[in-house]
Amino acid sequence: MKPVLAEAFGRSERMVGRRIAGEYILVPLVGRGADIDSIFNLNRVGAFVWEQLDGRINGSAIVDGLVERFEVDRETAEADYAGFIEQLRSIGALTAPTSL
Amino acid sequence: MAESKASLAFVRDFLTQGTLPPLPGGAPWEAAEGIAVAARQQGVAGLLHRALDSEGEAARPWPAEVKEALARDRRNALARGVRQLALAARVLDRLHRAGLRALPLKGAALLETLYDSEDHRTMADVDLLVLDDWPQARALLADDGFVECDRADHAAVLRDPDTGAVLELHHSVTSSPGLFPLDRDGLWSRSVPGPGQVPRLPSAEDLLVQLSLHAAFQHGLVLSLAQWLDFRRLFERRSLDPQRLLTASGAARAAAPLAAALEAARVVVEAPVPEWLRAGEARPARLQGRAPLDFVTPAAPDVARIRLALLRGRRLELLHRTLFTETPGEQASFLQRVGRGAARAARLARHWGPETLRGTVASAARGRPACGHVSGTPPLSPADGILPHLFRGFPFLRVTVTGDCMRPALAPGDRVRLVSREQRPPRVGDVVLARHPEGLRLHRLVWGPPLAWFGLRWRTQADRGAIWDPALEPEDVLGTVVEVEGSPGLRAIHGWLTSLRSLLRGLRSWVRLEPVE
Repeated sequence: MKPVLAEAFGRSERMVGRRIAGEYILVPLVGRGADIDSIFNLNRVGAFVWEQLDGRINGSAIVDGLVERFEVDRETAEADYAGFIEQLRSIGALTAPTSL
Repeated sequence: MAESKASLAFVRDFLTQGTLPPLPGGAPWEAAEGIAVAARQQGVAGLLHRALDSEGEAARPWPAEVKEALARDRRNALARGVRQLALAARVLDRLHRAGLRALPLKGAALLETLYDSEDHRTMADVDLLVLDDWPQARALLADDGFVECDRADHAAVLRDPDTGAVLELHHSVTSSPGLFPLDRDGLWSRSVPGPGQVPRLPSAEDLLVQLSLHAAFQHGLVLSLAQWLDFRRLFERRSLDPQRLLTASGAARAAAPLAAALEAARVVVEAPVPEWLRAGEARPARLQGRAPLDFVTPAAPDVARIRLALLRGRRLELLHRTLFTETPGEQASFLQRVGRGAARAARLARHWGPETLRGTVASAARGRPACGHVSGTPPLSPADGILPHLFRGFPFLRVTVTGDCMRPALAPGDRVRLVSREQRPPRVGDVVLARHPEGLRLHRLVWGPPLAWFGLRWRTQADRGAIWDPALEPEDVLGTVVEVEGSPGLRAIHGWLTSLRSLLRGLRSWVRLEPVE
């Protein structure tokens, strides 16, 4: 199993998520220069993953949910999940992971 | 003008009815565009877009471009509102850890309880009321890098070094501090936990008193529709206890402003004021016969007369507290106080004199002076796109500087002439009129032509500011200052060196190599 699937990530308090008009938007609360002007749009899959990231559910369980909910094969779901987590980490949206 | 009035009336109807009225026939595209502009100006673009998003049939005639523009407004309002509330929470926490009690005022005190989402009602800035040691609170925030941009007699205007957001740190709800006494312990003991980011909120009764003081005394009963909607939502979404309201209103000596504001809120947004509250006060005479939109910006408020009417029986005190304001922590001898009072009287006489009365009260309606704010004639509005048309119609526009951030190039009270971008293309070093999320600013262009390479967005900054303003699109720079009236050619308004210094100061603040001065 990929390391990222064994880890449980939490949502950073520096990032607030809101659902408006069919969109899921992440708003960074602090930043510097142009970063603070940024907001991030999540698609349905991204929003589903974001809402699961509570620091207690590990990646493997979230991928199970993706496979069940979005009719995608496990290999694709794992790759998409890992890529999405990497993106979220790069914008400081996640807390340090715990291994479960 | 007629079209904008019709658009404003549409937005009001939408807010009072709770559903989307049909678009006027004839030219629906133009009508929809005008209504979107009005909703944006009135702070309810997010609510309008939510209605468009949820009401299928009524939304069908609306052009896709207008809907998309409103969706963008809504996303921006969400991001801004979330960050503003985070700022309020952060500062309240900072003060709390230092043993200082403080509570949010106005938008920050109600956004999370009276509205379903932060994008439904925009806030110009974040207002906090310090209940304990205001000078210490100010000093703490200065230590944290907040930059003081301006001072009013009841608040300091600070800029957050992290986000650039504007925070007003109040020691009084209104100007002329002491006129409406603060029951500090009572406010705190009646306050309640907040459901969202802001940890503690004023009680519903105190909130109503504060909103009324703000509406009636501070703004002469002319507010945006979002601000009037606050009253309606307060009655709809929070329960009010008559005895507690009586206590709160009595402690603040706010019975007359409360009655006037409630009457206006009933007229403007059909606020469901309970019978027990309506029976308490006679209908204020000055409000009778006025139309709803007379109470909505950009209508010109009659601030001086309304203040006199509200303070019947206390007019000498009004005069005294207006001229001889007391700022917590500032000691002044008798002679100093007299000198300041005389200077303030002269300023008021100048501003409220017959020639400038109209412009002054109009600017007061749009908000207190803040960092780099400007007022002007014809009235300037930050987001309505009117200014480019005005520039086309007049050889120049004249605005009055009310902030302190551009000294020594520009000082409060200076009247400057602006020309359009077409007449004088902006260049780095120019002082420009720029449209920012917080309103219009007369700040220096520190990044732009001829340096704006690689598609980098333009930047402005106050000469006395430590941080850059938010990034701008070129079209957000509306005009360039060409002259300070009364000192043609004498004052160095434009300057590469000043611009370079500002740019470097902003850069230093950005990378945090050393503390900001």
